[in-house]
Formats: sequence, structure tokens, C-alpha cells
Amino acid sequence: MRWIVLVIALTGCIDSLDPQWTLDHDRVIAVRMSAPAMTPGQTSSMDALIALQGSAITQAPLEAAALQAPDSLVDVVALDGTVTAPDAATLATARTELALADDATVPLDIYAAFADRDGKPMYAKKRVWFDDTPTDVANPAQPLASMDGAPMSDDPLVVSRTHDVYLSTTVPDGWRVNWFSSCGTLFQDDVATSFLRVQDGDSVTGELAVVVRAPDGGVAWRIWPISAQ
Amino acid sequence: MTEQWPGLRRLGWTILLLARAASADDGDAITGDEEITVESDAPPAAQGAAHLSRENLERLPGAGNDVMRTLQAMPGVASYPLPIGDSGIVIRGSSPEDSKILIDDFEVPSLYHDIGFKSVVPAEAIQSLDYIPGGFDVAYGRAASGIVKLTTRAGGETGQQAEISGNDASVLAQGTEGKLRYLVAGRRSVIDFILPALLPDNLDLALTTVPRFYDEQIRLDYAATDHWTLRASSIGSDDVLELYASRDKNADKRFYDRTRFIRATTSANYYKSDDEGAWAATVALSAIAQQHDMARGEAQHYNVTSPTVTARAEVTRFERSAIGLTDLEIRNGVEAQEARHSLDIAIGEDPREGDPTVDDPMDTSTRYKGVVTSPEVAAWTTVAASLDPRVRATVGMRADAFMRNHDSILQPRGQLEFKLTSTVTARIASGLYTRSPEHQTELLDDSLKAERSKQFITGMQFDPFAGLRVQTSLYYSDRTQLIARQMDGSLANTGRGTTYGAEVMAVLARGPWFGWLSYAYSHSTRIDTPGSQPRLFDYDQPHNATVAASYKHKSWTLGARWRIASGLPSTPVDVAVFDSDANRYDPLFGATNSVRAPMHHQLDIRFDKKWTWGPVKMTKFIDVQNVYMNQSAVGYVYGFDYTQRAAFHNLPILPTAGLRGEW
Repeated sequence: MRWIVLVIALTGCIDSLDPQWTLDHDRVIAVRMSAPAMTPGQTSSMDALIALQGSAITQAPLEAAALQAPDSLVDVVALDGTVTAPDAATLATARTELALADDATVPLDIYAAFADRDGKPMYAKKRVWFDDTPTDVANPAQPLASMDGAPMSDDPLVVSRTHDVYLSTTVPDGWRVNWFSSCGTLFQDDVATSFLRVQDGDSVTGELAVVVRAPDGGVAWRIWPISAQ
Repeated sequence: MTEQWPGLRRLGWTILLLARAASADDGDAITGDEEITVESDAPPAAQGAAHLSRENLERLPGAGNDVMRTLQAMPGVASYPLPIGDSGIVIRGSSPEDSKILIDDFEVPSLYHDIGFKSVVPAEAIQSLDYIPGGFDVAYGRAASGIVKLTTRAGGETGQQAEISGNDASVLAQGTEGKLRYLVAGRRSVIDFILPALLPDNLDLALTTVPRFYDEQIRLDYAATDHWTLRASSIGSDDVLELYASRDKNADKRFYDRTRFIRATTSANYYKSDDEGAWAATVALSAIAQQHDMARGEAQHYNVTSPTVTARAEVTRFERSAIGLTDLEIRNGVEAQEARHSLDIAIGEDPREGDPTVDDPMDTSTRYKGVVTSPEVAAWTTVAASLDPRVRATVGMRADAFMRNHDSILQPRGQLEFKLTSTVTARIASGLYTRSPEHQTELLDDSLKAERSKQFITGMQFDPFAGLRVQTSLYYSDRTQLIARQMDGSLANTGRGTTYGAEVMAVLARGPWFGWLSYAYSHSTRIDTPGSQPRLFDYDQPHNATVAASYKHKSWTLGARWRIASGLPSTPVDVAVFDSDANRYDPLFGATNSVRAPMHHQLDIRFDKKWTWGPVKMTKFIDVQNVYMNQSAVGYVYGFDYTQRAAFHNLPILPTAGLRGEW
């Protein structure tokens, strides 16, 4: 039945909604921990990529944090979202509370609130992992990207209004890629190769962003100013 | 006629019988092939039930010659611009799976094509449509709410015909060969030829298989002897679509869906009258092959094939009088069915009644690959008799055994009918009805029991003159053992619910006029688990009314239908949390079904014109829905982060034109 809804949408019976790729909408784009996986005593801080309608992307601080955690882990998060991994004994207790195997990594879901343009909260969840022994889990490097096959530097982008512009990044299998823009219209925004078309009525200036997510919780992003001519 | 043919009065308005030339010693046989029309309107199959012949079905404005749209004029059928659920209809506020669609007495999985929402049987291949919203006979089972029963048409009434409209093209051939009557019909959608041209160029979409459907109907009737008629029939449907929601055909943007079935049925029907009454019997064997194959992206797929064989036998004895009773009817039947479901599924949690839809194409939390068999047997007996000229009683018992679930249910049903005056009849009926646990992933859990529904129905029927019937009904259904989602995600028979309502239906078919008036009030609530709050059913629709009329003058017919219906309830989203790792917003819902879409009303008109073109009888029709373009919101869709909500509107106007030739 789902495709029926699609056909209806194609025939114009559903009012328009902001697309998922737009940056011209109050939203949390991504939340990142400086260390997505930690060993006892290690700390990790949280930051987030925030879009606000009519404004440039910011890396805003969180307003508040909350936990969905077993009793043993309630004290590991500070109000600013900084996480300190508990000691091995506390992790062992947590594994018991969560019915995990003795050597399992322990997940912790952190809920953070960020302010929108009106100061109202936008809620986001980010999972961190605790382990007894060091792991090689880390945030990936800033993603490399290309436009119409040419590597993209950090310089502002200028795209043509006369043809579709292909945007591409390379990630390993199993990673998620999401493209965002406040200029033009994005297609295939949640796969590695997207394309941008500047249509009549679209904004011709703004920002372009790409966020890549690794299955182990690592996050990286990259942002460019963009305009269309 | 009914005196000469005991039992016929109970069987319907129009009965087609095939018989050989009368033999000298069998004075009650019919001479030649002929149609016996019972002059007086037959009583409804149950209080509130309706019977529509093909002619009247085609005359209903706004129905576009289609059964699905005709059904929406029935009181008690939820009015909605899209087919609901797998079956396509909701009756008396229940769930779609609670009602069954029968074609020639055997169930089909769906009444509609996905494309254009057309029914799988064109009106031209139908003899009649019976709508029984509740209180139905013991011969019908595995339905806790209502029955829609289509009877296909025996061939030979007119000539061949071909028709084309904006939706589809069809051909129908029929005729007689000695004692054989045949009808063969086929149809194919044409919208797949048009749709690619209609889609905007800037869509991020690749239609690799443009949506299309086929359906077929075959019916053969053979008058073997004076008393035996043999019948073979087939009905099939095939819908397919494949698209990529991206121009570059990314594999994870693929959506493929194919639903198809073919049912073949053979039956032998016996009828013989004697001085005291008559015997009637039916023996039938039917098989259906059905498949639903869906794939979405690289993660989700759902491929279920369910070949099913059903055997049924029923014997009826009509007695003019016995043991102080008159017009006695004793009927006994048995049925055995075996279904073999081959499942290969990897999908998210399938949405249950009351579950808000959260769509995650990566969710494959429900996985199963294997075979499930579900043998079922049923037996029934019923006795109906007139206690005196004004009082008729029917009592029956149906037993269903669902062997896979180790569940056996006795279902007593009965009705009392009082002829208050020559034109007014009152009825009161009650019974137990069940639905077997075979909907969606219910098949995966053999501990589930059948859902139960106790129905109480009373009403009056007023027949002031031939051609006009007015029915009023009050009903109450007490539903128990409803299958509901538990906190841990499993299913269990913990739900219960009630539905009550009132209905009025008036049908006029007299001279050049055909008129239709229906109104239904309904309130349907349920509790899913002990201690949880009562809530509305997903398809609770308090008010639903239809007024229609058509007038035939010489070669043209003009009709109009106006309808108004409450919007359906839905569950609001209070807030959503962004799951950064999954790049997905998880909504937190408010009270289930606590908001309702606004009321919708619309006017439909229809114009038919007949003429002769050489040897061909031509008919052209124009059917326009929603003439004054009332685009009410019928539901709401949330944006990606649930901070925006958009209305899903009715189609502004939907014209359908067609041309038919008969020769």
C-alpha cells in the first residue's frame, strides 16, 4: 500500500512539506561525541550540527542532557553533555542490569536538547559505548567529496543553474551518507552520490553539507558555502 | 412461482436455472433454458443486507461501473478515498480483516486492484452483489464483521462486448453451445500507458515497471440432467509495479510489489422438487494460488505464497409443512480447507490496528523463512420455519476448528422474523462470529486464538410497493479475544471492544427511476490490553450518508450521488526525538486515535447514452466524481522531523469516460 501513497503524492494531493535534505529548517543535523567509545576514566564531549531557518549552520551547545540508563550509569554524564566512562566494576554492574554478556560493550543513550529559533527544545539522542579495553573506534576523518568528478576543496562552491551537479563522497559499505543544502534542490540525498538542481523558485545561495556515519557511532561532516549562477 | 419451487423465495431475487426439456413424468422441470425471476422482492439475507443486480450496480452514479465504489454507498461501509486494508473495505467500524470478500461463495484475498483502485471483477462479469454487514448465515465463517458476496454472471444473456475507458480496456465473450453456457472476460489497465506522460520531469523517480494490472473471469455452466447443473469458474488478478525512488536506480531506493491470485472452482448443483417439498445440494471444490511479493530497498522483503484448497458440501431440504411448521428449510454443510503458506519475510513490525505508522526502510526486526500450514474444518446446520404465517424463526449452529491453533468454536446463530403487516417486517437476530488468526504475521504465532464477535441486530423492513424497500437497523457487537500488540512486541488475544450503531437504507427501483438513500451512525471502541485506556478503532466513522438517484429516458440515463462522511481518527505526534546514529526521528505519540479528520462531502454525476452502430449496440458513459471539487483533508502526513503536518486531500475531481460495444 505504501506506493499508493507515493502515487497520490505524485498527483499533488498532499500539501508540501520541507524535504529531509533542507538546511532552511530548524533541526539537529547530527550529534557527535568526541570519542564514540570509551574505556574507564576516559571522557568524551558532545557537540552537534544545528540548522536554523534563514541562518547559517552552527555547532551549538546543548541546553540540557538526560539519560536512558541503568542505575549504575546515572552519574556518568555532566549537564554539558560530557561523559566520563565509569570504572570496570561499575561497568560489570551495568552489564548485569542490562543482561549483557560479561565481555560485552555497554551502551548508553544520551538525550540532549538544543534550542530552535524560538528557544524551544529540539531533542536528539546519541549512543556512546563503554568497554574495559581500548578500542579503535573513533570519529572518521572529514569526508572527501567531489563535484561533477572534481575534488572539492573548502572553498565556496559555485554551481551552474543550467544542468544537474553531481555530488559524491566515498564511504565503506554499511556507512550512512546524508547530503543537505539550502541552495537548489537535492536529489538522492541519502546515498553516496547525490545531485543538485537549481530550479525556478529555489534559493540560489546557502550552504551545502555532507554527514557520514559509521556503524560504530563515529560521525564526521563537512560544510561549504554554495551559490548558483 | 415460489409455490411451485419450494425454497426459491429464500434464495434471492433472480435465480438462473438451467434445465433440459421437461420430461413427461417430471412436471416441475423447466422447459429449456430460462431465467426465473421471483416477482416479489426476496427478504434480505440479514437485517440491513442489500442485494444489487448488475443493472442497478451500473446505474449508481459515482460508482463508475465499479463494485468497490458501489460498496461505499452501503450503510456501514467506511467511506474513504482509498481502499482500506487488504480486503479493501471496512464494515461497521471493525478492522478490514474482519470482513470477507466472496466470489461465487469462495474467498478472494482482495477485492481491488492497486492501480486506480478498481475492483478485480468488472461489473459486466457480475450477476449480483450481496452486502451482508452482520448477522449472516451459518454457511459463512472466518469473518467477525460482514460479508461481501459477488456472484459472477452466467453467459449467454447478450452478445459479446468490448469496453475501453481511461482506466482499462476489457473484452467479454459469452454464448451457449447446446447445454453449455459460457462467459470469458479479461481486462487490462491502460493507465500504465498514460502515467509516464503525466509524471513531472523533475521527479527523482525511475519507473522500471509501470504499474499495470490484469484480471480474468471464466464461467462455464452445463446442464447435465434435469436436476444436476455443473459449473466451472475461474477468477484471477495480477498487479505489478517496480520503481526506483531515484533517477540513478540506487538499489536501496528500489520498490517492487506484485500481488496476484487465481482461483478455480468446480461445483455440482442439484435441485429436485417433490410433492412435499424439494431437495437441493451443492458439492464444490475450489483452489486458489496467491502470492504477495514485495521488496523495498536492499533490506526489506516480503514474499508469501499461499496455495489453498477448499472442499464444501451442503444439502438442503425444503418442506412445505412438517410437524406443525410451514415453509421448513433444513440445511447442513461441511467444509474443509488446507492452506500452505510459504513465507520469506524481512520487514519491520507490521502495523496493527491502532498502531501509528512509523516507517523505517531499514527495519527488519520481523524475519521468518519457512512454511506454515493451516488446516481448518467447519460444519454447520440450520433450521428455518414459519411458526405461523406471521412468524418465522431460524436457528443454526456453526462449528469451526482451526487445527494449527488448536482452537475450536461453536457459533450459535438465530433470527426471528415477524410480519407485522403486509408491508412491515421486524427482525431480531443474534449470533457468534469468529475471525481466524491469519492476518499479516499472525501466521507466525500458533498460540493465537480466533477473535470472537457476538452480534445483536434488530430492525424493521418496510415494502410499501414493489420496487421500494426501506430498512432500519440497530446493532451491537461485543468483540473479545482481539489480537493486540503487547509491550514486548508480541501478539496476544488480550483485546476487547464494542461497536454499536444505527442504519437506514432505502432503495427504489421502479420504472425509469432508481433511488438510493443510506445513513449510518456508528461508534466503535476497543481496549487492547487489560488496564489500558479505551480508544476508537482505526476506522470508526460516526456519520456516513449517501443520497443517489438516476433517471432513464429512452436511450439516455442521468444520475447523481451526494455523500457525506465523518473523517477517520488518527494518532497525533506530541514530540519527536532525533536519533543521530540512525539519522531518523522517533515520534512520541499522543493518545491513540484521539484526533479526527474533518467531514467530507462530494457530488458525483453520471451520464449514459446508448445507440446502435450497424450491428453493434454502443454505450458511452461519463462518470464524474467530486463535481464541485471539495478537497477535504482525509488524513495527515508528518514531515521528516514531525514538526510539520500536511493534509492529504481528496482528489479534486475525477472524471471517467468509457465506451462499450455489444454485438
